[in-house]
Amino acid sequence: MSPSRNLKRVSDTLWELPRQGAMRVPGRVYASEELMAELRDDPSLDQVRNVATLPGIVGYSLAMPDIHWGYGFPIGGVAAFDPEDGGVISPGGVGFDINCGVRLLAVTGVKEKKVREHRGELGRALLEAVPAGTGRGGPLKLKAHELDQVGRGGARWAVERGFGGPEDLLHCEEGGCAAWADPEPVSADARIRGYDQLGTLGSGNHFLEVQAVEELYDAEAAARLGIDAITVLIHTGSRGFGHQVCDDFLETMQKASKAYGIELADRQLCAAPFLSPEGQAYFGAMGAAMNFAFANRQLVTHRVREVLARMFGERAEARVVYDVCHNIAKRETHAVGGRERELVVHRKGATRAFGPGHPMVPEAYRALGQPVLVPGDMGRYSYVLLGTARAGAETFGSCCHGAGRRLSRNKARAAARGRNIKKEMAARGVSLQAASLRGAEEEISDAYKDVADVVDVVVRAGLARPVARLRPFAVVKG
Amino acid sequence: MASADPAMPWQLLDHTADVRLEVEAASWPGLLEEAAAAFGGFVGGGQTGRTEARPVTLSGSDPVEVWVRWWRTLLRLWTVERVLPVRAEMLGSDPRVLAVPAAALDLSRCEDIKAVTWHAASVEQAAPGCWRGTIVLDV
Repeated sequence: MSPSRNLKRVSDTLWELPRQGAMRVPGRVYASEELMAELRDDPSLDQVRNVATLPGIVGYSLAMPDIHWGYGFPIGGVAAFDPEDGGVISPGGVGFDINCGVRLLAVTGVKEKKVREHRGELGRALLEAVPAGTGRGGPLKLKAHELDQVGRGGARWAVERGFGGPEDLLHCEEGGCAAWADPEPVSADARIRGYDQLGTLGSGNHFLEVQAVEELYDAEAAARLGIDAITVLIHTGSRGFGHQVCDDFLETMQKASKAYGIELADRQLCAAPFLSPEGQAYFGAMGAAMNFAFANRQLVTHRVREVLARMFGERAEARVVYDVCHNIAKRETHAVGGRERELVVHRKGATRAFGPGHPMVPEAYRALGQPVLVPGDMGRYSYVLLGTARAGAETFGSCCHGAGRRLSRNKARAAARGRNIKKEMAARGVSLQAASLRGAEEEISDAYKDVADVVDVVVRAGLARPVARLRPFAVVKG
Repeated sequence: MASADPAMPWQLLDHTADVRLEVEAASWPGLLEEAAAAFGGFVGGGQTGRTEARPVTLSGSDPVEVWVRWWRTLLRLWTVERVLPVRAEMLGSDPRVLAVPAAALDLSRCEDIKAVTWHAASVEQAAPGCWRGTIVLDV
C-alpha cells in the first residue's frame, strides 16, 4: 500500500505515518504541503516505516524535510534506539560515507570584492590544492600505525601535526574526535582505501564553496559566530575508509540480524543490538571512520588557508565557525516520556541541532545554540541556522542537512544534456571548477529541492532559527 | 546512461540516491558473468595493461546473498586492488567458482562506484531462460 494513503497531517509542517504492521512506533515527517506533494508516492516514506520496525526504537521514526530515497534508511532520517531495551545499531542507518559532514570557515583580512574578482583563479587554486574526483588520493600517504592514530585522534591528530590550531577543535561537533573510536576492527581493505585520501574532497556531492554572506537574519548571532562577509564551506567525509568500514559491517550485520532474530524489511537495515559484540565492534570502527572524516576536513581546511594566504597575503585568515556531522550514530542523553534516557541516535543525512544551554554546544556558542549548517545546491545558496530546545524535545536534537535530491543522477544528466553548465554558472556569477564534467552535470541545481523551502519548514517547525544565507561565487566539485 | 553496447544485457534504472542496475541473462551463471561485464561497462576507463584472471569462489545462504557478495567481490577488485573486472567466466562446472579477468586502467577516465548496497537487491528467474538481477550502487 502506498504510504500516502495513510498519512495523517499533525500540523502545518508535520505529518504522521501511523503505526501498522510490524512498526513498533509511528513515523513522522517534517514537510510543507508542497514538499509532501512531491513525496507522497516516494519510496522514502516506506523507508521511514521500515526503520520503525527495528528493535528498541524510541518515540518516532523521523524524517527531515530534505528526505529522499536512500538505502534502507531514508536520507534525512533520524532514529533513536534504547540499548537497555534491546535497541540496535545499524550501519545502514549511518550510511556509507560515515561522518560525511560540512565545515564552515569565516574568512577575514581580505575584502570580498577582491576575492570575488579573483574567483576563477581561486577556484582553480583550490582544485589543485585539494585533490578531487574519482578515487583521487592526496600527497599525504599514511602508514598503518598513522591510520590508527587518525582513527583515534580525528581532527586533533591533524592539528598536532601542524595542520591547523587547537582553537579549530573548539568549534567541531565532539571537538573533532569521537572518543569511543576503536580502529582495531577496521579491516585491511579499509586501510588500503584510506591510506592516501586524507585532505581530499572525493566525488559525488562533495564540494568546496567560497561564498558571500547574502543576508543576515540575526546580525547579533552572526557576529557571535564570527560570520562577516566571506565564508568557505567544505563538504566531504571519510572517503574510501568509511565506505569500506560500512561495507564490511553490512556483511557482519547480515549474519548478526539472523543470529539475534531481527526481522528486516530491507537487508540494508541489518543491525545488531548495540550492546552485542557485533554492535560494539561496529560502534568502535564507525568512530574511527568518523575521526578519519574529522581529520580529512581539518586537512582540507589547512589547504584552503594555504591558498588564501598565497593569493591574498598572510592577513587573510579562515577561522572555523563550526563542523557538523551528517552520517553518524552516537550515544546521547535525551528526555523521553519525562525521563532521561541514554539512546543511540542515528542521523543519516541529518544534522545535530542542540539548543541554547546544551552542554555539548561549544562554550562560545552555548547561549545561542549549536550552529546548523545547511548547504543548498551549487547554483543557489546555503544557510546557517541555530539549534533549538524544541529540536531537543521533538527530534532528538536533530535538523535537516541540505536541500535533498529531487532527480536521480541519471535524470540530472539527462536534464543537463546539451547545456553548458559551467557557462550557466558563470552567468550567475559563479566560477565552477569540476574534477569531471559528468560530476558537475549530476549536481545541477535542478537536481535538488530549493533549500530555502527545506529551511522554511524547519524554521516554522521550530527545529532551528535562521542566522544567515550564503551565496557561492566559486565552487569546486569532485 | 545505458550499456554502451546495445547487445549488452544491462541497463540503468532510476534511484534518487544513486544508481540502480538491472542485468539479464539466460542462466544463473550467465547472470554472474553479465554482472561483471556490467560493472566493467559502467566504470569504463581506458585499459592500460593486459588483463589477468583472478579466481573467485562464491558463497551465500540464498541467491540474493550470493548476488550481493559477487558485486562486492567485483567492487573489491576496483576499490582495493585498483583493477577493473571486465568479464567473468565459470571455471569448470561449479557455478560458484569463476575467473575474473581484470585489467589495469586509466583512473582519470573512469566513473566511480564506491559501494554495493543490499538495499532492494534482487535475483529472480523471470521466465524460462531469463534470469534477472538488480543491484543499487553508491557512486
